[in-house]
Order: sequence, then structure tokens, then C-alpha cells
Amino acid sequence: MSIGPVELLVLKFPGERVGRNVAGSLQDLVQTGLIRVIDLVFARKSGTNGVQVLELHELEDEDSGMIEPLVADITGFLNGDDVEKLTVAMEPGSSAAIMLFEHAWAKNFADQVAAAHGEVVLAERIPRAVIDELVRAHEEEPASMAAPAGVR
Amino acid sequence: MRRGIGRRGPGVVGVMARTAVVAGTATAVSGRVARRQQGQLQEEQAAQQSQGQLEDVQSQLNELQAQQAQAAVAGAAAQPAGGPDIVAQLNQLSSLKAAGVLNDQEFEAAKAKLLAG
Repeated sequence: MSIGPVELLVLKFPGERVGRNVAGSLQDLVQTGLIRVIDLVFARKSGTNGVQVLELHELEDEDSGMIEPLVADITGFLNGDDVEKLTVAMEPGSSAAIMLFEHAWAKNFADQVAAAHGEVVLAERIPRAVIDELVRAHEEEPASMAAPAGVR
Repeated sequence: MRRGIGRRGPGVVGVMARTAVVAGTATAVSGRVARRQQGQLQEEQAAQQSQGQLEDVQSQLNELQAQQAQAAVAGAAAQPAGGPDIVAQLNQLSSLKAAGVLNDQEFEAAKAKLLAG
């Protein structure tokens, strides 16, 4: 089975839990077929102890119960070394969620691009601060550069 | 991966770092990760160099976390703002070849790409 575009996402959170809303939103994304979670692993750094790596089924909270059915086949594509590299700078008292997921929504588009012999030259996530700055800059421009409807 | 099976075997970040070095398109994270691996493989080298690489990785990851950025997966990425540091990258390739991470063919290909600009 071929796979669509895959993304690696590392999120950090204060405290130990991501909460019901985050888990619920992720559940929605998977259940509506927009993404498929390929691998998911968590890390916690409490106090000055080392980083503790946790699998989904090792989290002792209800939120993980919402997510676990969605990740039926954790691949382990994130190996121990990966997790260590990605959590080397964790702050005490924080936790991290590391997720590999497929952009299922983009799979057909990617297939069409490939069929047309197109290639990805760059795929870059623009930091939120950069977008905010651009929106502000364009809002200050005269009417000729007014932001399109819907952009706030 | 079933419960009880560890996170062994090749991993996505490691493979990304290795292929990005060969392709000459190291991203900010994978390039520094590769240089950190180089430091670990060659502990005979000056400790300061390894320490510098480790600090690079830590500061880079701090920056990523501060920006809530995600690691670019595509493999092709913009060059750093100051422009590519050809000499440093050539040294990196040589060390990786000496350490056996790159074979002769991979090294020559990567070097050619690097010098072609």
C-alpha cells in the first residue's frame, strides 16, 4: 500500500498531559480520514531527571485512550536514537509528543504531481510569527494591497 | 510494532540525516544531527569540536521548540541565511567517509554536488 506525504511533528507541552481537547481534535483528524498516524511516542522530563520515553499504551490518562485505537499499527519508524536526538533539549517539567503522520488528504494530489513527473523541491512550514508579521504588514498597506477576504 | 518490541532498527531522523548529507541538501536539524553523529563516531577528535556540535544541536532544538516549528521532511531546504559553509561541509563529508558512514561513491557524489553549488 503506497503512502502519501509524511510529516514529522514534535510538540512540547507544559506538564504531563496534552488534554482532552488536543486528543479529541487528533481523533477527529484521523476519523475523518485527513491524516493517518504512523508512529507516536511521548517523552517526559520531570525535575532534573533524565528524559523518560513513553509509548502510547504506557500513558496513564484517559486522553491516550482516545488516541490509542487510531494508531493501531505503530511502525517504530522513530527509533530510540531519533527520540533521544529530538528530546535532547527538553526543559524540566515539560513533556513532548513526537508524531509521524501521513497527510492522507494530500495523497491523491501528491500522486498526480508524481504522475506528471513533478518533484518536491521544498516543503516548508512557515513559523506562526512570520505569518503574523506578514498579515500585520499587509494590513498596514494601502487598499491596493488589501488582504484577501478571510485573512485576519 | 507490537508492545514489547523496542524502537530498534533504522529510524527516520537518522536516515534523513544520512540521505540529506549524500544529497547535499542537509536541513538545519538533520545536518546538525549528522555532524553530532560524526562527533560521536570520532571521539579521538578534539573534545571541543564534539562539544560545539552538541551545543549546536541543543541550541537548534531550542530554537525549533521556541518557534513551534516542525522538522522539514522533504529533504530539500533553503540554505542557512549566511550561505552554505562549503569548507565545513567538505570536512564533514571527509570525516563521514573516514568513519565509514559514506562509501567512496557516496562521498564523491556528495562532494561533486557540494562543489557544483
